[in-house]
Amino acid sequence: MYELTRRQALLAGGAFTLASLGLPKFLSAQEQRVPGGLVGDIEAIAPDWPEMIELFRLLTPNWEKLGVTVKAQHATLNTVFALTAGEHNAPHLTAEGWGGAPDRIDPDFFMTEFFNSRRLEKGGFNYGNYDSPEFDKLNNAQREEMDPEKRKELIHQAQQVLLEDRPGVSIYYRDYVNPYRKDRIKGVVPVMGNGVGLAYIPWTYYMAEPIGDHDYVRVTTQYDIATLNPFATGEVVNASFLRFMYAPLVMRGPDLEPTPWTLEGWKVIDSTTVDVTLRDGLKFHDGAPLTVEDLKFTFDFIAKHQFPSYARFNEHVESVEITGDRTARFNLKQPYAPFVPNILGYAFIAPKHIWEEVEKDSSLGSPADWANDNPVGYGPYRYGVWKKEEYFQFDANPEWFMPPKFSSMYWLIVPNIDSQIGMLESGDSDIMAWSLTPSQIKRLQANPNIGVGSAPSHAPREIRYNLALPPFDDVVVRKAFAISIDREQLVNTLVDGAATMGDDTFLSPEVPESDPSLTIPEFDIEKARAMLADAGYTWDDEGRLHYPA
Amino acid sequence: MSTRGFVIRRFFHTVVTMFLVLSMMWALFRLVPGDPLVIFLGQGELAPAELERIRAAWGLDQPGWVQYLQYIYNFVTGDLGQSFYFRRPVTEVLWEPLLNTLILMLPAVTIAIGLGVYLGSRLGWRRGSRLESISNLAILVPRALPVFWLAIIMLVLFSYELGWFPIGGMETIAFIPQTWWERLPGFDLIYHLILPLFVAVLVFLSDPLLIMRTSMIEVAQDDFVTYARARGLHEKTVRRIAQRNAMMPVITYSAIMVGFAFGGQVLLEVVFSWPGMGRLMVNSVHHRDYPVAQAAFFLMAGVVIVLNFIVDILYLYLDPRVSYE
Repeated sequence: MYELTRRQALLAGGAFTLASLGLPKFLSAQEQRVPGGLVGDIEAIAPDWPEMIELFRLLTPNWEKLGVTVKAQHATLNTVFALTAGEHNAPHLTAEGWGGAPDRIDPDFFMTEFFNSRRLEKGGFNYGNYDSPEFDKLNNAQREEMDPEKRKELIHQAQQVLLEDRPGVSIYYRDYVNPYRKDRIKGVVPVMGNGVGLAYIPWTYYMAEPIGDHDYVRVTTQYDIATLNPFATGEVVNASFLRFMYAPLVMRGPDLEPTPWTLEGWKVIDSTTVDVTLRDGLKFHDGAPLTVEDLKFTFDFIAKHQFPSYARFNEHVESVEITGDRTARFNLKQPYAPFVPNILGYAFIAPKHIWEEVEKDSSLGSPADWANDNPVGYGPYRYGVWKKEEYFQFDANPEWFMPPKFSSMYWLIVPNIDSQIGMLESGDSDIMAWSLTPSQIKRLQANPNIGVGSAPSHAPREIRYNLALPPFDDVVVRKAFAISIDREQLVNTLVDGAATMGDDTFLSPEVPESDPSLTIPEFDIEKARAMLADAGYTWDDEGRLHYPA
Repeated sequence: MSTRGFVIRRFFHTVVTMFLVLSMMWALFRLVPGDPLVIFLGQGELAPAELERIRAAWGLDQPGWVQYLQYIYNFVTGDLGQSFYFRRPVTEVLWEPLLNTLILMLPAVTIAIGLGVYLGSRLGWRRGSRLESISNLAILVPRALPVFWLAIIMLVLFSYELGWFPIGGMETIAFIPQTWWERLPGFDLIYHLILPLFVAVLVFLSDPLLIMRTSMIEVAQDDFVTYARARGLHEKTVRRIAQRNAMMPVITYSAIMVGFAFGGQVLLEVVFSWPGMGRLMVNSVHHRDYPVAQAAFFLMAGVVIVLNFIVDILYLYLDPRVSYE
């Protein structure tokens, strides 16, 4: 009986220890700007990836030359995310590394999500508390400008405002580098933000060919499907997997231009009206014809049930009208420049005959709660099998207008990257849906059967200042920190040069809409110190930075 | 106290422990920072009214103590709830990983205990011999090594270099049997099972073995052993008598070991891509999928507690000297 009490005591002790370890604590909340006072410790939080840990190891010494102490904490991505976006309780600096979801290629995503004042509330990504009416005005204007050239001009102006205000630094955009078996796959397709193996914009799985002794392709990934219900998930990777079956209306091509996919074409009539035409002879995987009725049904269904994952649709689409056998008209609530890539590019069509019945099932709180164990899509791949945490299999749909050349795709869930590399080398897999580090690439390049495909990214490794916390309420400090970053050293050391350096506008120079005249901020600590001195900052005998008196 | 009284009191304690574990788990998961809703939705493009609707559907709008009472009530009535992440009943989510874990862990634990008892009793019996000191060292090495390191080394050696076993998973994709033995049912599964099973046995073996050894050394000093020798019994028979008496601590320990086996071995599962409970638990904590995480941890704790209870009762029969009167 002693045993029981001892076990309980242990559990209780464990609970307290865990609780105190789990919550990063920041002193910064109390920090005040005192004239002439000492600038306190600069606190930072970043994900606990090796790349991020190494990043701070390289950044900190240069920043400390400005006379401050930088204390970085690392936590799991979800914890960082919960503290910053979730609670809006960010420390002085928050570092993040973003993934290359296709909707982020449009400049609107990072500009609006990170810097528009509408995203200041909890849950929004503007956790650095940037609030500029001038930026908001330009950002809202580019968002509503349907003329691409005029829109570019507005985006360039917004980029200038960001450079002037410097709410954060977008340090580099790391390339996506995926290895594959050259003796098994021919013609992989590199796409920005996707490399050659990911599922975001998966042209490889639509265009590449199998060679050698089997005609299927085996992909290793860390990510599993969470749900087969396309209305339930907005999560980037899960949604990408489902898009193999529920093909989007439009896809960005390998050149990033939006190209018709389920649609035959579209036409922008005016700033709030877009006409679309479906491809001829589309069929659902159960044999039923896919009609414009199903298209309208899907949008009505999303509007009616207000699925959280499709909030963007409800924000912009007023209605869908059927105008002919294969044609429909989208009426928008307000002009929305990213409509084609980010709404048509994410929209799919749900078979009316199935989802109508799901809607009638009173045991479900929402059709998003339905398991959809046997998904009926219409896209290039049909559903095969899903074994949770093990693998899933999709088979080619020969009736798609551009049938895939692989008979089947097997996505194997392999959580350990070294195991993924081992499987590729031993021939147990054909391609890796994971971006490699420089040392892994070197090791694999020694193998004559393994090729490496890569593409730049549009998703930054970035650090945002918390503008609500001194000293980062002062633009001079923000700029001084920005030019104390040796971007070239970082890119060469961390990713062996396989990255695009950033210009702090959060748009990669590779994004077509970005201002081509922008340059990378030059690394110059002396200049940074001079800027601080000009603004009245001083240093004491021990070299510590003090606020202007 | 009568035996019956003991069983009743012991049962009562088991229930209280379960309740405490449940409560502690509830508190722990809510101490972890992060709103499951924010993590689930990803970005804040959602109308506040809709957010509230989901929050209400998940019961997250209620005050903490209401959530707590609801949680206890649901557990007691066997309703494990709906997974936030998979949007399916928790029982459905748990079922497959649990089965996969048991396929790996039950044989591993059984072999480890059986082998541990066998070797432990022999080593304990030969205390002080050269063989014993060498064996002790040999047993302590795999125990001291980190599990993932050992697993990776085995993988590199047997799968990567020698190519005898697959690198991971539970089955070969698009498997076409080439020979008659490959056509045997379960061949592919066993082929995938051998290496992780071997590592698991190596990892689990040392505890029952060392406990058995220590217990054997103690028992060897007992009067009944001296008496058995005095009776002129064969040394083998004497050892058997001692062994039976020395097994009691191993039985207690086995209850805990089997319980933890239900939780899987997350490091092994990651290295061997085995789709088991360990990975499910870690992922559900990452996703703040409270219902799945709670049910999985409770399953593990519950098995440990119940087996402990059973073992305490079993003692009465296994060792007639034990009496709770």
